[in-house]
Amino acid sequence: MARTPSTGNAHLGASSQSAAPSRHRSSARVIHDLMPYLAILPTLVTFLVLLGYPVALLFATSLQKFGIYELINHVTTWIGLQNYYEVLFQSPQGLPDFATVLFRTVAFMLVNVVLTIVGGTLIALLLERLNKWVRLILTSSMVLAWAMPAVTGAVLFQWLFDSKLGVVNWAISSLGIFGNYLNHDWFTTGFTTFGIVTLLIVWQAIPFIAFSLYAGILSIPKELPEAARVDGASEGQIFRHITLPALGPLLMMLVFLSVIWDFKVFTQVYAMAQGGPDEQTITLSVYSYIVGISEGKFGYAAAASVVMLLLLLIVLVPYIRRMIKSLEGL
Amino acid sequence: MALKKLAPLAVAALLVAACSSSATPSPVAPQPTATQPAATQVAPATPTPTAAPATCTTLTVWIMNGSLTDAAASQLNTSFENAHPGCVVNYQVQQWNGIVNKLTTALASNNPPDVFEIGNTDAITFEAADALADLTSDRAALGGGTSNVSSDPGQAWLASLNDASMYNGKLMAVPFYAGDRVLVYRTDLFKTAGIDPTTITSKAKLIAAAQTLQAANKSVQDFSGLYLPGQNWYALMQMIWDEGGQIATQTSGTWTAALESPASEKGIQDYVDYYKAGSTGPTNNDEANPNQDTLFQQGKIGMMIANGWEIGSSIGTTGVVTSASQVAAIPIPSVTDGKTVPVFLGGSVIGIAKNDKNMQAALDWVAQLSTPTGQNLEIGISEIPGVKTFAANIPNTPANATLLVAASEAAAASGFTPNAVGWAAVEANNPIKAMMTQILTGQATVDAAAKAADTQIDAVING
Amino acid sequence: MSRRRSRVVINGIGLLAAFFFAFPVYWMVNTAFKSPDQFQTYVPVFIPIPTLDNFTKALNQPHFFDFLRNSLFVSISTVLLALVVGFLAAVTLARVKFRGRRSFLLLVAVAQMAPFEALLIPMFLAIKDWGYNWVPTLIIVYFIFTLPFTIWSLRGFVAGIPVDLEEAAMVDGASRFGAFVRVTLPLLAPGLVATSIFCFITAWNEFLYAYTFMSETQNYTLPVWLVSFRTFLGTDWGATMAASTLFTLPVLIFFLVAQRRMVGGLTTGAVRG
Repeated sequence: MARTPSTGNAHLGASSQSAAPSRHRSSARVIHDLMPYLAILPTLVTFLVLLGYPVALLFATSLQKFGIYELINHVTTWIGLQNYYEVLFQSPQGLPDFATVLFRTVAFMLVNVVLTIVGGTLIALLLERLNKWVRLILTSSMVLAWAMPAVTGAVLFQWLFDSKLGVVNWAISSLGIFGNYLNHDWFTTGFTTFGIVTLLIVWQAIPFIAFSLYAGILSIPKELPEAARVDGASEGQIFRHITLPALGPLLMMLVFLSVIWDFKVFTQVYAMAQGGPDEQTITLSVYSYIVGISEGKFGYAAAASVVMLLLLLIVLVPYIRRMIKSLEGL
Repeated sequence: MALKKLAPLAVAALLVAACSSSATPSPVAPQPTATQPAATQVAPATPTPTAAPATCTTLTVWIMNGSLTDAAASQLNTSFENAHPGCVVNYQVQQWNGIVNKLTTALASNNPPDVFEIGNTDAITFEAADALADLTSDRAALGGGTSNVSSDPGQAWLASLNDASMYNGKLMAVPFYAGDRVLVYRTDLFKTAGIDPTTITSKAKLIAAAQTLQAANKSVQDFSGLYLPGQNWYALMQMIWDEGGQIATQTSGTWTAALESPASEKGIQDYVDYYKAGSTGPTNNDEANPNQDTLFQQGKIGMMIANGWEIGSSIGTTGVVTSASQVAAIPIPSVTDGKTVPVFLGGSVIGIAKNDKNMQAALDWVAQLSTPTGQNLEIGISEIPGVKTFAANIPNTPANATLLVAASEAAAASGFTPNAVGWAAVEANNPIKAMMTQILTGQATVDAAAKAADTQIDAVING
Repeated sequence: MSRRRSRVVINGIGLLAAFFFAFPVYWMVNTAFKSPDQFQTYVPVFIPIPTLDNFTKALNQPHFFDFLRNSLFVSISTVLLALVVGFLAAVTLARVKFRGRRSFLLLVAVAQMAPFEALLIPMFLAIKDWGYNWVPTLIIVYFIFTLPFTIWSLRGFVAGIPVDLEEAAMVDGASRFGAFVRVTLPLLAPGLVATSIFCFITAWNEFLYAYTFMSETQNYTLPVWLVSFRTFLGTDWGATMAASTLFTLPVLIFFLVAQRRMVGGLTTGAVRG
C-alpha cells in the first residue's frame, strides 16, 4: 500500500521530465501530452489523499492502544506491534485462533466466488437466448434481489428458513420427497448456517455478474457466432472458442472483484448468525468486528484489517498484474 | 513463518504511521491500564471550560427510540425552555442499532450532545472510557438523595439503576427508567381451566398450572401452557439468582464466570424443567424470534415470561387476544413457595458529556426526570420510574396493573448483569445462549455446557 | 420443431431463475401487506387479506421526507460525481497510452481493496473537524468507495468499443472529440447505466457511515429509517418489511427507466455498427 503511491508519483515525475525537451514545440503539444494526467488527476487525488489519509490513520491506529477512552479523550499511546502480535498469535477470548478463521474465510470465499461466477455466466448466457418478455421478467427479478439492502436480505432469509414459521420448511415438507422438515432447524450447525449465508450472498451477487457478462456478450459482434454456426459449430464450441475468449478480461476482472467482496463480506454473515452457532461462522471480517468494534478496541480492529489487507495484497497482486496484462492486450 | 513474510511490510507500515503521527494533534495523557481505568485520572491536556459559565443557547438531548413518547418529551422540553429563556432544546431520537459506535464518535467530535441516554448495560463502557461528567456533587440536586450506597435509605434511586450509574465510587450517570419481566397470563384460559392465579406461588405450582392449561387446550396447534424459547437468557439469569447462583463473581477486582457452580446449575436445571413442561418455543432462538407477543396474540400461549411493557403488543385488533381483559400478570414465582424470583432490571441511565459547555443547563434538564412530574410521565408510558418511592407507589388503576406487578418485583429484589468492563463483549457474542441450546437439544449435559460457557465468559469479561 | 421445443425449455428455465430471484422479494412485499396474526402462521399465507397499516406506520415515522430528500441527494450526487471522475480516468486508461498507466491501474486495483467497515473510525478522525453531521460528507465517503469500481467497469466498456468506429468517423471529417461523442458515447450508454446502478445501490443502502457520521435526525438517510422500527419493545416486522418494500422501489424505478435507455443504446449501437 505504502509503495504504490510512490511509484505512481515517480512515473508522473518522469513524464514531466520527458515533456521538458519538447518546450520548443507548440504549447498545444504540451497540453496534449499532459491531457492524460489532467484526466486522471481527480482520481489520483481521491485515492492518494481522500482515501490515502484515512488508510494511513488506519495503519497509525493499528500501532496504538486505541479504544473508546483514547478516541474520546484524544490520547495517543504507541504500543508498536502488540496489536499485530495479539491478532496473529494470541487469539483472544475463547474465539477460534487466527489460522482457523483465515482458513474458514478463504474456503467460504472460494465457494462463494465459484458459485457466483458460474451462476452469473449461466444466467448471462440464458439472458441472451430468452425471448423479450421472459428476459424483462428475469432482469427485473434480479434487480430486485440486487437492490435489497443486505440487512433486510439477512432478516428475510432467516425468516424464510425459520424452523417453525419458515416457508422453506413448509414447502419441503409439502413436496414430500425429502420427508418432514417441519421444525427442522437450519441454524444449529456452522455448515448449514454457512449454506444459507452463501445462498443469500450468491442470490444478491449473481445479478451484478450476470448483467456485466450479458453486456459483455452483447458487445461481441453477432457475425462471429453466426458464422461459426453456419460452419456447423456446436453451442459448446462457440462458447469455448468465441464467447469465453472475448469475455476473458471481463471475467478476470469480475473474479477479482468477487474475491475482494466475498473475502471482506461482513453484513450478511454477521446479521444472519452473529458468528454462531458456537463461533462456527466467524470469518475474518466478523472476527475483527466482534473483537474490535463491538468491544471498542479500534486499534486491535485496525491491526486485524491491516493483516486482512496485506493478505489480500499478497494473494492478489500477481493476479492483478496478469489481469492488467490481459487488459493491455485488448 | 508468516511473520517473516510480513516483516518488510510491517516496516513500511511503521514508516507511514511515523509520518502521520506528526499530523495528528495528540495531547499526551497518562495511559490508563485495563484494571485501573481512566475515571480515577485527570487528563491534564484538556482545557477546562468550567471557569466561565457560558449562557446556554442550544441544549442537545439524545433520547433512544421508544424511551419517551413525543408528548412526554415535548412536556419536558417545554418546561425546561420556560425555565431557561434563550436556551432551546435540540431534541434528537436515536436508534439502538449501532448506538455505541455512534455515541463514541459523537463524544469525540467537536459538537457532542450535552445530555444522552445510555442503555444500562452500555453505561459502564462510557464510564470506564472517562467520557461522562462526574455528577457526584450534584446527586441531591438530581434527585438521588443523600447517599451513594444502593442499600442506604438515604439513597433515592432503584438499587440496580444506582449501581449502573456508579463507577469507582463516583456518580457518572442518572437513572432514567427501568423495566423487568413478569408472568403474563390469559385470564380467560385460566377461568376455563379452573386455575386461580394467586395459587401459583412456586416453581412446582407453576409447572402444574402449565400442564393443566396444556391439557385444557389440546385442540390448539402448538399450544404452550408456559411458553419459553430456548434462549431467553434474562429469564435464565433470574432462575440462577433464585437458586443463589451468579453469572459471574468478583474477587479483588477480577471477575470469574460462575455458571458451573452447583447453585447456578440448579437454576439452569429449573429453566430446563420449565421448558420441558411443554413449551413449543424453539431451542435455538430467543423471545423475539418468533415474536412471543404475536404467538400470545394468536392464542398459542397460556403463560409467558415477558417484559411489563410487552402487554400492549400482545393485544391486537385481530386474532384471539383482542381485549385487555384477557391479559393479566403475576410476579414470577421462586422455587421456594411464597417467594418470587429476583428480577433482572433493564432500562436506561442518562449521562452528561465530560467538560460539557452547557453544564448547568444539562444538569437542570436531567434533574427534571426525578421530579414528581418526570416520574409520573414515566408511569404514564408504562416504565418503572427510577425513584424508589415512586416505583413503590404507582397509582392502582387497571391500566397500571402489569406495571404494578413489575414494580413490586423490582422493589423486592433485583439483580443485574455483572458490572464488568468486558460484559458488553460477553453479550455481543453471548455464550449463555449457545449453552442453553446445547442443553435443551441434548448435545451437552448441564455441567459440561456450563463449564464450556464459563471458559468463554472468563476470556472476555475482564476486558 | 425441436428448435421451438428448446426455446420453450430455455424460457422455462428463465422463468424458474426469475422465481428464484423474485420469491424472497415477493415474500417481503407479501409480509408488508399482512397484519401480525397473518405473518406468524404455520401454513404460510401466500395471498394476504391486505392491510395498509404497515405502510401507514412506516410513512408516518417522523422526518421521513427529510430522510428521503437526503437519500436522493446523496445517492444521485454520488452517482454523478463517480461517473464524471471515473469516466475521465476510464477513457484515458482505455484510449490513451501514457507513462505510468500500469501503476495507475494497480493503484485502482489496490483502492478497490480498501476495507469499508474497518475504515469507519479512521475516516471519522479525518472528517471530524469539518464534516461531522454535514450531509455532503456522505457523498464524499460513498464516492471514494465507489470510484475504483466505476473506473474498472467503465474502462471495460470503453475498451470494448472498437477504436475503428471512431477512426472511421474521423475519416468522414469529424474531430476526435466529435467522433467520440457521436460514435462511442451512445454505444457506452449501457455501460454508464450498469455502472450508475451499482453506485446508486451502494450509496442508497449504506447504513453504518450514514448513522455514525450524522448526528441529527434531519440529516439521516433512509437506511436509518429502516432500523427505526426496532425498539426496546422488539421489532415491528410488518412495518420493517413495508419500509423495505418502499425502500427498494426507487432502485427498481431507476432501473426500469434506465433499462429503456440501455435497450435504446444497444439498438443505436447495432444500427451504427
